[in-house]
Amino acid sequence: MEQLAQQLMNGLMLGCLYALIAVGYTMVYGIIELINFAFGELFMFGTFISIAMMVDTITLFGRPVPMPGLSFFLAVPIAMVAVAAMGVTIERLAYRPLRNAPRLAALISAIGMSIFLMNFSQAIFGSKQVFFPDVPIFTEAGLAKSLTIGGAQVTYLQLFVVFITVVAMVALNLFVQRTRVGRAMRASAQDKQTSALMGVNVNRVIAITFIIGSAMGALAGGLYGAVYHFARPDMGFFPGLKAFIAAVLGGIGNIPGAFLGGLVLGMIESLASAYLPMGSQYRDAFAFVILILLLSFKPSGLLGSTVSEKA
Amino acid sequence: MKGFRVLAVLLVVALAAFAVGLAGCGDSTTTTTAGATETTAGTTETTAGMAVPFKFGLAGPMTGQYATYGASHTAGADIAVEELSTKGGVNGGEVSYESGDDLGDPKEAVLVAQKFIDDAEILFVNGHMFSGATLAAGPKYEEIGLPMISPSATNPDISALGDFIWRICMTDAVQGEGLAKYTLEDLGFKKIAIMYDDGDYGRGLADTYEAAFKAAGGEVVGREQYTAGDAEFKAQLTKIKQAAPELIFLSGYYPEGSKIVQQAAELGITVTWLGSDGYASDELATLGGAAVEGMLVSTFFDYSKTDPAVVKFVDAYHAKFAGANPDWFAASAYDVVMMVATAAEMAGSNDRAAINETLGTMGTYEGITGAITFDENGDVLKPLNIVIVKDGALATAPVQPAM
Repeated sequence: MEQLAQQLMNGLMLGCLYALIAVGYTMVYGIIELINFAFGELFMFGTFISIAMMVDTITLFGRPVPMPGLSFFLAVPIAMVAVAAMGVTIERLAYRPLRNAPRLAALISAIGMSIFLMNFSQAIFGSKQVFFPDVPIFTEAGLAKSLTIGGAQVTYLQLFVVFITVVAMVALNLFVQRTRVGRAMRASAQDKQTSALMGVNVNRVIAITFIIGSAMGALAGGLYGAVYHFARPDMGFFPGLKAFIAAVLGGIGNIPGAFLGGLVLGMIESLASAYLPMGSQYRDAFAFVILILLLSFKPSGLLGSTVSEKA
Repeated sequence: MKGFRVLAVLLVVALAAFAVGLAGCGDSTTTTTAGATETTAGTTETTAGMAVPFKFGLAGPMTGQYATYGASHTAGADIAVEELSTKGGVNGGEVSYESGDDLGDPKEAVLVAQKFIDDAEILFVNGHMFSGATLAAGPKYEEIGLPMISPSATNPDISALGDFIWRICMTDAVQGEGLAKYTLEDLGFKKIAIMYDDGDYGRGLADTYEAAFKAAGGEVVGREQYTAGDAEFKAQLTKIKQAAPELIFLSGYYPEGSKIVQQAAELGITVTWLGSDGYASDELATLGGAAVEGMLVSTFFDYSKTDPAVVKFVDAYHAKFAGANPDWFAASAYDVVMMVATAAEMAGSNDRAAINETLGTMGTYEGITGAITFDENGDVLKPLNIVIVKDGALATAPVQPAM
């Protein structure tokens, strides 16, 4: 029982991080039907920039550079702004020129961008793991502060991650459902051309989508770094892939779906490695098996309905 | 026209990504120290053209997620090259090496092996570092007769690769048995759990450790695995916590290990930790922070020793890397070069076959990682060293294995 509570808590935390990255995938796909593989790398830059803002000196291009040494709560928002700027720039340079090209061309461009960003960060930050500093209010003498809930050991930081994720998801959903820009987004997702005819600036809507998606990725990166205490140029690959699965699982194009998909995926991974024989070995495989099963029976994903709307 | 433009953009992006990828991954450089060139030019003007250069291949993961091992490997070799060059080379030949990046990956290792085999100037290979890479590349060297001396590949299967395959680290079998005995007899723990990296190295060592521990009457209450590159270990650790072991043996490498120990602390697991030699790096303490304080680690090189040869190497390393401490990978890379140089001088010629033969007959070589004596398989027997993480660095552990 205690173990179950602990495993559920582990899965919840993991799921929240997947959900934050999945939002970017799902929003961008919803509007331009592009799987932006570079989100995994934007997530990675989110972690690195957070570290850079938090430490006193960091090694860039093999040279020590003085840094501001800000608090975690300032560093992550700065990283979000910086990564959002990167996200729009990528959209402008790598995807917008291909807007009317065959969809495969944009997809290849996205893969190229992902490889480029990974190598670029290796050139800047080096290939070694970089330590993510402790966040003082969550730690005591270098160890994470924690409390026991229903037999599960939960750190304050984990609770904070869950809290931030829920707040971000609710805010994002309100933004898309209640605001003018949100309405423009939903309209563009349904039909770009007609929306443009109705006076919606589709290019601006797409840029905003990239800003939000990238900022969420960077937020996930900052939180991930605080939880796992590291950054590395190739760290974005697997979380990016998992987030993509989470987005598909929840119904790609659907924001609450991305949140649900992330949580489900996190739980499956955690429970599978705990209770199935050879579970920890095949944990990633289980995630994919569930995905394949779900897609065979419900191709639009758990909450997906956008597919039929679009047809 | 439009299609053309799209194609052009795609090509540019693809090329850019490719170029950066190449710059990052395919690094391959020939390094010769300035000192070497000067010596050859200055003192042996006439024979400079005649002497066979002492050139070797340096194989390891130079980029990618294991690049820090490759960096240590290169650093150790650099110090050896500098030292030999100041002495005027080996058999009068200029000392240099060619670097080959195997990414720690068996597939890449085979390509690196082919590159070294095709270069007739290369006398021996210092590497490969990882067991998987060595198992893949070894047969190629054996076939062509190019001696390969691994500083760090510990998988037992490597013994059977052939006459040209050597290593100066003990096998996983020997280390596993030694550590099992250390846990049971020297530390006095009878109930342990094992967590291991599911690659050749981590699994091989975990298996021998477990077998030896059980055979000696100990109880293994948990056995969990993970994959290199993982960051989330709480599912496995939660299971181990239920089994309540007294000690957890970690078989793998420090990038994951530092996180395992941290996450265990978050779950409230308080045990003694024992790490395999893959954890023996100051980076373990840097990345693990307060959680890894007091962790025991098996190593083949203890930099806090006061032996003059060790001090000389550590000082050279400090001078070169702003006071950073060398890990056992750097020390072993240094030992390989210095040992082969000694063998080449004993043989009197810079020649692949002569070097290989002398390695088998030269007897004990006193390296900075301990006394190196090869058995008939090209393996060595060395004492185990245990270090402890103390104030963010590695220090000699209070309890050492009884020999």
